Amino acid sequence: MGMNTSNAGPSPDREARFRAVYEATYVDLVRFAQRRVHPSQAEDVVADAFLVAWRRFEDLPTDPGDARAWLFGIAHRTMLNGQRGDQRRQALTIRIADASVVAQNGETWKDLDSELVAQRLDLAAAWRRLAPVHQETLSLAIWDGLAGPHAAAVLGISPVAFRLRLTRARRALRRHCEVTPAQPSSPAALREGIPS
Amino acid sequence: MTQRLHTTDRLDRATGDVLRSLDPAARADQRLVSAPRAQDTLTRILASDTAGTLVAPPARAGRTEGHSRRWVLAGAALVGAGALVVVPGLLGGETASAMWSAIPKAVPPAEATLAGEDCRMRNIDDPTRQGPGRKVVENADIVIVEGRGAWTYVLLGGDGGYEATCLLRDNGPGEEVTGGGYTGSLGVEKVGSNTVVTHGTRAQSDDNSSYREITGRVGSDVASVILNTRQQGPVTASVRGGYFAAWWPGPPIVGMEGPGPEPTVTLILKDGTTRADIPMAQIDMSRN
Repeated sequence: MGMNTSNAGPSPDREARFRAVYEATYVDLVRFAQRRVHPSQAEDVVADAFLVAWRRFEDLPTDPGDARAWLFGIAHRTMLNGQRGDQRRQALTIRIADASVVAQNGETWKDLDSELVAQRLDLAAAWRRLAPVHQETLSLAIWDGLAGPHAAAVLGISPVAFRLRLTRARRALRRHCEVTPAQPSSPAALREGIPS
Repeated sequence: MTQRLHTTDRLDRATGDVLRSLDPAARADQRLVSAPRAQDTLTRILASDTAGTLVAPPARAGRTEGHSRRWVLAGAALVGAGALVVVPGLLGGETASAMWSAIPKAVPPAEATLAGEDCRMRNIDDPTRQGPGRKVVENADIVIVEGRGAWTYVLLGGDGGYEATCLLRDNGPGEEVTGGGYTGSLGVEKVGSNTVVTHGTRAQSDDNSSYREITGRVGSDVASVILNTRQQGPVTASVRGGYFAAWWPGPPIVGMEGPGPEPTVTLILKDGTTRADIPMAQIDMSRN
């Protein structure tokens, strides 16, 4: 069969460039993974993704934004492949923060006005009702901050197809907000952990 | 209720801000990349063996490589004996580490991902351009990754019935990686719930050894697939995600003798029923 790999080590340029990409995107990739798997597994996913990237270094885009999306795509496939059986081809379920404990810039729950608290609870509840494909689409656009072409690249679809998905996902979220009453008495009942 | 969501298909700024505040990963610290775990990972990756060097794609079905290596299609079947053998010649030499097992073992998830992506890379970088196109390979699922002795076997499955296999043996950092495989398309729309479909066994041989492989789809009621092979006796296939796959070694296929009889197939259904010794002709879609 004779498929030989080179015995020569990596060039300093290659190593330096990979190191730079690693330093620039590691935390973004950890966040990307944390939204999709249990936080304790996120850095394992990232390590696998970067190892694949190192082995496929020739394919690493030179543009930083393209490179980031390419890495997200590898991590995405890694997590999809970790799912079992009939779930493999489905989108990943995206976690959402516990709306009852979210606070920013040092604010406490008591500091928040009641309307904002209600909005968070409604949105969190509506999110849980979304199909994984809609969660994935919104997450890429809003939390991962990816422009359409980059988000499309992560999912392996065309930018046009992603735009359509985004429109549908927004509509779906709106629909679920219409039918989702606020549940202030049980705000912590949000699904967490490994995508199911 | 979040009324601001109801005005257009776009999310208004306030709603977008609220959704952003619910990011479950917002608290990941930027300094994480400087932590020992991240730096250890970087060090291990940079020290890993392939250094991003691309390796040749696997052999293609029906394509001859070299003077003594060839793909051949098998004929009918017979039950043999033997569970553990040393895999010689073509499969890496007669060493204890090359022991092959009739029952596959699980591959740890991280290693399975690497093997699967390695197989994908080999097919993406196919210089013969005989495959289905880069997109299909990039999006293919890593369906099965199984271990038999020192060998890791991968099945990729994708759109249009695309299948590709890789039989891989990593001989260590900086050393030769050997492997074979095939690319094909089953084109199966539906499988009966209590049966399997395939496009037969495929065999590869050099002057010292050979191996055979078979892949296909399983019905929803099938729990186990066993190949009754002439060369190694009963070989338990891996079954996952609606696919099955197995490979087994054998003696070299000499001259014009052909690869010999194909295996029969025994299915164990989820209700405990056994369907024994199904002839290959009944499940080989390429003959129907």
